[in-house]
Amino acid sequence: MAALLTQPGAAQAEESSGLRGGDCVETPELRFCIRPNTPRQMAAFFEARGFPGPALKEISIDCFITVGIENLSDRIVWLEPAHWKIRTEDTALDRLTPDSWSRRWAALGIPEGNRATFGWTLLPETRDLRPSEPVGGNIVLPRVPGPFSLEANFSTGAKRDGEPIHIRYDEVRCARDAE
Amino acid sequence: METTANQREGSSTGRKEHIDPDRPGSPAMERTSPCIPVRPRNRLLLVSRFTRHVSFRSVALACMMLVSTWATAGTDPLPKGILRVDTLTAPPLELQDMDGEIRSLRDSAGRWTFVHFWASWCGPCREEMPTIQRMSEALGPELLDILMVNTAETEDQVFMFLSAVAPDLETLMDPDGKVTGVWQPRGLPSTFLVDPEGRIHYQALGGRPWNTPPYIDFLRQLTGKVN
Repeated sequence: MAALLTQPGAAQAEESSGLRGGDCVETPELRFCIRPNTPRQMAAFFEARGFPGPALKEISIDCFITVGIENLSDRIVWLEPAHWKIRTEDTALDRLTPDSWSRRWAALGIPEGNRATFGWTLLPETRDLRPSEPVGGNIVLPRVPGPFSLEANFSTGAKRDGEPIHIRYDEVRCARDAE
Repeated sequence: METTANQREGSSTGRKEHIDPDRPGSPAMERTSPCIPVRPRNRLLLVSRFTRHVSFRSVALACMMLVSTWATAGTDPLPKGILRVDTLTAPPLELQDMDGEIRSLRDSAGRWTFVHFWASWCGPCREEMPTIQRMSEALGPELLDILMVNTAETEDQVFMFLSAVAPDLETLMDPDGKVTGVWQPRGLPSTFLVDPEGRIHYQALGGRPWNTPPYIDFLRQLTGKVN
């Protein structure tokens, strides 16, 4: 897959959130794209970056979704994925946070350079998106077999006192490798 | 995958689209900007009209303030995606280049420096890199020092990438990503503009088309060489 060469989970997701093959929504304030990636895609990307086998094995377990966002408004839009709601019909799904990945990498003795690269491929935990600023990266979820919803909530304004933005995707699924 | 996207508060159109970043006219890189900076010549013209009504001493003071503001704040309005930041001393930056030679930001004292963090795996970096090379050619090394910093990749990865995308650019290597972490860029790619005294004045948001007129003009004015 050509996109793999340049990106699943780039720190700035195909600038302007134009994720190749992504499902995109555009509002007057925000462009928002998501693209689930298969375990094989993710492992191939990180293998090409020199990640060791144990790291690739860990990466292949979970559900990676690349997110690209661009602030189209003239005010600050707050990216805070901790405020997003991701759930199956029955259960809330918790993102695997950068801290949890740091603990995993430390336990496995993964080299610092690989840890840094992996960190830069994750969607930032917080960002005051300025007008026209793009951002991108992966969110990682526990792999679930069925569909789930993703509701991305954004505060707006320098003091977070602007009209909030909500974007919702239904029927999202973790991508699986072809049989 | 069947994905539906609905919109609620704060949105109105709810248009769903697939975007090909390689498509002409795609938003992947800003090609042009209407924000052409005002040249200092125009400002001096304003000052000369002003002198008809006020004393020479006042005008001299105003000129000094104007020059001072110009030197530190650059042009206004700024090109798209250039963020003026609260001036702060740049963190240390001392790394080896691909030949093993140590280079430091301190070596750039006395000149404006373009400090750029990047990685070969990042699509916007790939797109932006040739524009940095062309910008470098347009401005020349005596005007702007360029310090590229690769974040946490190997020499082989960097060599393969740069030789294909921007063969005239050299980079420093940050193999464990720790120097990048200290600088806290807002993402990759990321650029900081550091003044001759080692203070950060501007940060670029994401990849920018540095070789286009708004950015070239901005950098020329910032560094004091105006056409």
